[in-house]
Amino acid sequence: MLANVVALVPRIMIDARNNGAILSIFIGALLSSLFFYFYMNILLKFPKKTHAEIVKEYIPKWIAVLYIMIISLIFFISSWLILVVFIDITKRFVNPDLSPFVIGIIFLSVICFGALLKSEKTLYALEIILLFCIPFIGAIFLKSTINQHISWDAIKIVFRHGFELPKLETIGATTYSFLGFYYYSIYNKVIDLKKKKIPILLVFIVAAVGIVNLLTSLLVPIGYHGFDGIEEYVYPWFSTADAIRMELGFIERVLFIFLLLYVGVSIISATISSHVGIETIRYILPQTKWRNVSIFPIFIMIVFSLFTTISYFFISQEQVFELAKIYFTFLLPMGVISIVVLVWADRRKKHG
Amino acid sequence: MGKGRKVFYVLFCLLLLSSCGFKDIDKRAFVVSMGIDEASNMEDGYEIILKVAIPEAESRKESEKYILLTEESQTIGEAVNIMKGRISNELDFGHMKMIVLGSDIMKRDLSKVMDWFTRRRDIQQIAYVGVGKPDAKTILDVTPKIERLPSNSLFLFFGETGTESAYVTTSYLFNFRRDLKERGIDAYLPVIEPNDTGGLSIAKLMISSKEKILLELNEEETKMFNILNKGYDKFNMVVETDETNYFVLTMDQVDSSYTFMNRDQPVITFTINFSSLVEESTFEFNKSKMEKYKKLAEETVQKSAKQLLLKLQENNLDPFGFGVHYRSIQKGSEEEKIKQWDALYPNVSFKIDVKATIKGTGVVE
Repeated sequence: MLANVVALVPRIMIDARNNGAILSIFIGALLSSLFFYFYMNILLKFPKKTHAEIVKEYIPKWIAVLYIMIISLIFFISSWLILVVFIDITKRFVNPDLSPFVIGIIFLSVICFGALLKSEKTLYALEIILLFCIPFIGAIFLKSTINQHISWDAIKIVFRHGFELPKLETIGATTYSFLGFYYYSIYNKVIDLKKKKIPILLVFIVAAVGIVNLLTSLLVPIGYHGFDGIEEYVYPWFSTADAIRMELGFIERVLFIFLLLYVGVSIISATISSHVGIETIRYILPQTKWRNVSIFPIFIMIVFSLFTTISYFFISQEQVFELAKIYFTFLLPMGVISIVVLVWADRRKKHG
Repeated sequence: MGKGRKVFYVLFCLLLLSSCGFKDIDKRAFVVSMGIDEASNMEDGYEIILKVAIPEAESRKESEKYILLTEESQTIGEAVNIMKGRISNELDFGHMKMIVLGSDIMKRDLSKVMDWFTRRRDIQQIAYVGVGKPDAKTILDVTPKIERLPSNSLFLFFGETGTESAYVTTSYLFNFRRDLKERGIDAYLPVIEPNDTGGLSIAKLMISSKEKILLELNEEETKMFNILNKGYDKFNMVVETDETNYFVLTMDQVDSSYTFMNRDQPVITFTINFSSLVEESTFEFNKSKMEKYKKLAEETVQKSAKQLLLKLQENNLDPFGFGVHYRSIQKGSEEEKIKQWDALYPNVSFKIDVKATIKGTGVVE
């Protein structure tokens, strides 16, 4: 949910500020809550099993293999997207002299290491990073809204156009914010909620937090840089963080604190995404071991790392942006498909 | 050696690789403020002035040493690059907090001039922007006696870090750029002038529209602008009771907001509420006449507010962003709204409601 600031979600929504951005947030939240509710409830019927295991067990083999490959690819793309964008942000804002190759290697070495850990351990890492980052990010979000130089009229213009018919890619981008619950497909194995159903209240809380988060990430940059002026910013949130002044903070320029926090958030998001990707795809790979260490997950991470660092040199920022749009649009049908597959598996389990 | 430890060593070695690219602090030259003037021997060129602070080891000593680098060129980026060859240290713009635009530059298309500043990643969006009169170079070369660090006195003027004055208007870079790009609002900048005590004074305001109309407000108008725009509450007001007598109010709290009525024949109603204390007066205050004094104070504010609003309207300038407000309440496409607003603005009428309270007469009656 936090990583959407890095993953071009604000920019896609800002492009739609003239075109039903507010409505798309609410549609996105509604759809995601529905997916969340159904997905979790079915998953909870299979305690201690990952999504991939369930699919492998109950679904005909060739569909299962294809499905698992696509799902795992989706997780890897999510990780790739965050990485490619963040390498570019690091190059642009932190040190333009550093070669993107080196930045990529630094990030990826941490991510590979994290992604190959056991599932429980990735959760601990996530917990630590979030514990450090969320209070500060929350404070920056809050600080950003109480500034007398913010233009509330520009924000109101967004609401004027907010309820026009939105584009599919905008809705897709908003659902990306709620992507986190799909990760539970793996963590179902290690977390035992001891519940048969998830409480409705939880769904509402997630939806509410998501809506607030998306509204902040859309509206605050517009308030700072204007309805017409925001258009030219490539990374609206980083430019907005630069426009926030914390007179009595440790550093007056919030940008650097913001960058530091987002290094943590991006790395952990990319790690978790890659981890879920690996854990999903390993069920259709041969379980070859060498000195008691599974080879294929390591192999996949190496391929992924190479692909990420090399792809940075071949894909322009504009193309990444276009790819992100396609990817976000693709997320919508995938949500439906994964629920259908799970329902199917549930039926087959009951009937034999 | 365990697997974990091996991975750790590999990671550690990789981290060492990242040490390139960063320069030590003594190899850098910190630009603290930057000025832009019109080039004297070139058409459409810029004269760029960089004020570079020289850090000194002893912090106790008042270190007011600085270098002023100037260069003329067709573009800002080129001028900065040429200057890089004229100083042995690496120019660092990370601490540049003041941009002074010469008053000649104000006649140009400012969104083009400011482009360099928003495009560069190392320039703070929270840098202050101001107009230098007569030109930027004069302003940057001034070293006020009160200054302990180069350009520091200029920074203290703004953002209420140092002085808190109703005559000083703060304009941040992001804020200025937004107003330059946003249709329906005109950008404004404080005017910085050298004064006769060897320091700087800021008491005026310059408004620049997208059609390159420039208007300079005088001190009183600037004060009124700040009150109306942000509800600035640190100002004094002289209220004349008759030809010879007057009293001065100091504000305690000011609220100012406006409402927009009747979209086809708009009426903009400003509501200003303030509570104040008497700071100075030529006569003894009579408690029974308090109502009368209040009324006088209200009338004074009303008159000067109306004068300012009408003057801006006459010049077709809109620094308050009524146009943006109009866009936010009207339906339709943005281009249409702007066209409608441009036709409407000359016919807008203003109403000013002032509600004053005089909370006390100070320490004496």
